[in-house]
Amino acid sequence: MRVRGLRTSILLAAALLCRAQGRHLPDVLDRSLSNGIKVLVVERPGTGAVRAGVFIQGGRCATGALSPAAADLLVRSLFRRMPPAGQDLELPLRQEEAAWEDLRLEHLRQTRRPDRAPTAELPSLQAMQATALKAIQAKLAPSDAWDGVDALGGTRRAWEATADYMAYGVDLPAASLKAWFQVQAAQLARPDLCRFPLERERFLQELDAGEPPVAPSLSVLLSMALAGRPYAQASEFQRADVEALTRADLANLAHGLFVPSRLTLVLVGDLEAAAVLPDLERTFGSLGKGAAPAGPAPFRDDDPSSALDSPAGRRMQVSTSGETRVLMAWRVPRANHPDGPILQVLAQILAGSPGSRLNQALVTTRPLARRLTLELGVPGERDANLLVINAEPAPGHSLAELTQAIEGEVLRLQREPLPETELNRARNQLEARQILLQEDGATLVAALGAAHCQSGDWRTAFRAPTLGRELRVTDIQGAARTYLVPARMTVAQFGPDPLLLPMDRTEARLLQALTALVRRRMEDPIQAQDILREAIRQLRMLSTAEREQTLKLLEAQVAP
Amino acid sequence: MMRPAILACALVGLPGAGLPGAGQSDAQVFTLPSGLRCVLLEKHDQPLVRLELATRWDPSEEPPGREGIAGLLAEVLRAGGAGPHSRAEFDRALDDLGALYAFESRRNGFTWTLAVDSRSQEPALELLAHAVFRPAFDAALADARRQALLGRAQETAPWDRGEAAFLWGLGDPATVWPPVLEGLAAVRPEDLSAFHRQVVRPEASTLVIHGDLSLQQAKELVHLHFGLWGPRTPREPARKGPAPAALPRLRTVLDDSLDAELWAGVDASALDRPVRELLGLLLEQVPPVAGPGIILGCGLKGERILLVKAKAGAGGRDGLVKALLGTLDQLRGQGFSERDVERARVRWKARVASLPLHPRDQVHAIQEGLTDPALARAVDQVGAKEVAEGLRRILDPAGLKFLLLGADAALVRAAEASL
Repeated sequence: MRVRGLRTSILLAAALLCRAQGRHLPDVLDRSLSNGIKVLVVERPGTGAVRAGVFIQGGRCATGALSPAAADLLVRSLFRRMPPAGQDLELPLRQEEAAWEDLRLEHLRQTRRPDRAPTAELPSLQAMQATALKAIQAKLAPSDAWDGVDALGGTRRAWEATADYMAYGVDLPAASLKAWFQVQAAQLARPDLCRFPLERERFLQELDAGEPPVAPSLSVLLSMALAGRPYAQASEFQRADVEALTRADLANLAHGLFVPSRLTLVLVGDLEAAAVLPDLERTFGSLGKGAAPAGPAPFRDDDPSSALDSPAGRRMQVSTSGETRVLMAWRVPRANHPDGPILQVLAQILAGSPGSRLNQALVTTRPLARRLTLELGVPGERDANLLVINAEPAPGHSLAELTQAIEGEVLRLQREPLPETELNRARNQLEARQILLQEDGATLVAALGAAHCQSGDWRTAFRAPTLGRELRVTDIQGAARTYLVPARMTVAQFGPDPLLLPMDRTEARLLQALTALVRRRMEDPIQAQDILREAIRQLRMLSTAEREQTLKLLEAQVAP
Repeated sequence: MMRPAILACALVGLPGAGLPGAGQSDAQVFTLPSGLRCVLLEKHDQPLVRLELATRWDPSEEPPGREGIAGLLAEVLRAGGAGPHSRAEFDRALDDLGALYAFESRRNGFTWTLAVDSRSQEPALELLAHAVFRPAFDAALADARRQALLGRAQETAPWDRGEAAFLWGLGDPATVWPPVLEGLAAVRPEDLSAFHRQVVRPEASTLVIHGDLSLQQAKELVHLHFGLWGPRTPREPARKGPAPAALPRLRTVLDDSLDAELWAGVDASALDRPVRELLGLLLEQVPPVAGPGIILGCGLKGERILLVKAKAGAGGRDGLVKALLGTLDQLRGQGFSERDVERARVRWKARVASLPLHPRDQVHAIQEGLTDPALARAVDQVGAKEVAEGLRRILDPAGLKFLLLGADAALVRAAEASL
């Protein structure tokens, strides 16, 4: 009787454990087609529709000698609209290419001339390129209005290029799924880049408008914090580099990346996995095999690429025309590192919710920051990447004050005992987030595809709460002491030059008094400016009352 | 807890398929005696519950002399305590549940959303009730938020201010107007509380519940936590203040940055909703590139404001006005064919049909009446002639308003001469 009771308890516990795990992991059918394409399927009967996602391993980091923008242009050119059927665009495309190249070289020559004056040829070259572009636009107009995916009832199209992968997603009526397999497989087999000139035009406009795919401040941070690593240049979008890209460059890139071993297909919705696999084999399965890329290798401590230390903790100050923010970044390991889930919990405790440490301490209780966010996996997760805290100071508070407060909170987490309740709260939140991740078809497709491309296993997207059950507060503190250390940290402060834009009236008067004092002792204006900047930065760390008292003292010294 | 039998008597309305406004065949609708309308979509495949409560009012209900009170109320609701909780306690309680919570204000209403593990549905609903009808009105907080609001308005860049003023003037429901100094200075904490009682009312609200709970559970929980929310005072009729100043024909924001934008806008709410639904999709198909250096964008913002935007880079400034006027002429003249409209209809239906894959959008669509079968039937009846006539009517040059952003003197002269 006792044994039976024990057995029942064991069975019950096992059932509860399965149920608990079942709450986190979606029921994913994980298969590979004969040519190596990975297929992940989640059935959602009764929804009437399917979210389909195509993921191509290799994004902005895989463009080789080309600008990372090549990945963006490739994904936009291919996936915004399908090419029109029966239209031969080769001639206008070649004409536009020739005109564009002439125009680009003419612009280069112009910049090299001492007077930078345009030549008489420039207007005619511009007109030629404009005419060619219009001809392409006219030929593409029918597919802008209605293309093959529209005809299948496809909606909510989305495409993106990231540091690690390129992705395309679409909602389809369940009945159109098989037809879409054919259309999409054909597109991947013969990528048509006829939209390239139009997408390049649009991309350049975005750059000119100050809206590059990655914020310029983040780009500055990445190039410094990850110098010498693959992600350092993955967010640099220079106009000249984009202008130099050609359709042939993109075709070569597609040829190298669109190989079965790099492709993952994710389907979530009203479908039966067993029923669609033969169709997938007939369509996507017939794509020819190419050179297999190096997958994400299992993490090894002795691998030099795993080293995270910067040459030294780095700090920089960037003068801007108005943007004021501090970006604090620490190098963290790639997605498949065993500490990944611990870092997720750590991030959640620090700034994962309105009640988290940094938000409570710096936004709600003592409003030093107007806005504060924390992101892990910046800009990707296939290689050593960054945990980034991005904060904007509240009015009346300086960047230095905010930076110091954030560092203080990090130090507190490393040194003071972490209450068990805080760990449990973070665990609950992560658990709930991972259930929420499965609610929306598009979000689930994105999570599965990204996790597979970045770590080689879709389960990575859901591992934090399951491991979290075994976590102790000492693990979190251990991770904070290992990763959030000065040797792995880069701090970038972005703000207007205090000499040009004092933050308030007190600072303007302080600057006036200091300038008078420094001029009495120094003749070199550059050196004087450096000293003034440093003095203002130091003064910004004082309280308002202290700054006003200092002002009185300085003004007394300046007074004749 | 109230017994189900008693509860059943207390609830008005019946669950049923295809009730007006629900649109989904499995939507179940019930109404509390207070007038709070509830729509339940049972989905048991995920252990999740999603709630969205939207309340709507007439923007002219702002009391004269207190202009901007709605914006300040939104600030206080966003930052203040709720029920017995201070803000920090409220945030912590949400964190403990692992709930995702959001509050959104717009010109004519507030929306609260909450998504939570279904095991925590009861405390989550209680927190939502606190936030909706038991907010704390603390004088110090109200004053701090007032200062923050005014400070933010002063910091807003001229470009953003110009954009907001233009969209507000056109009637865009999503645009929040920069606060009026005099009106805000006159608002006292008791005004906030009175305005909250006046506009956040159960009979003007709809609660959509999506997820892992049954009709019986939903009724019990909603009654338990929202049953005490009653229209304590009759709604006062809106006291119309002085009419807002009309938008000028052309508003300009001088800024000699490289890029310049020229917008044409008009309130399209005079068009029937089915026509607007299709028009929004048809406008998305207008080719985005108008020539070297000029990018076009057309759309129906908030399903109400028709906007045509032309944006010029360094090489496109000279052609900016011409490009925009050309697009407007083309829209007016050629319009859209019967085939275009039929394609838009197919797209519209496909979007609605795919909503079950996206519960958050589905819940929102129910609030907006997008899943109403009557709307689908009306969309079926729309023809190209109706769209063309409607488009010609609202694009009448006399009724269009223009916004020129990032302009220099030469561009302003060119725009003034042409517009």
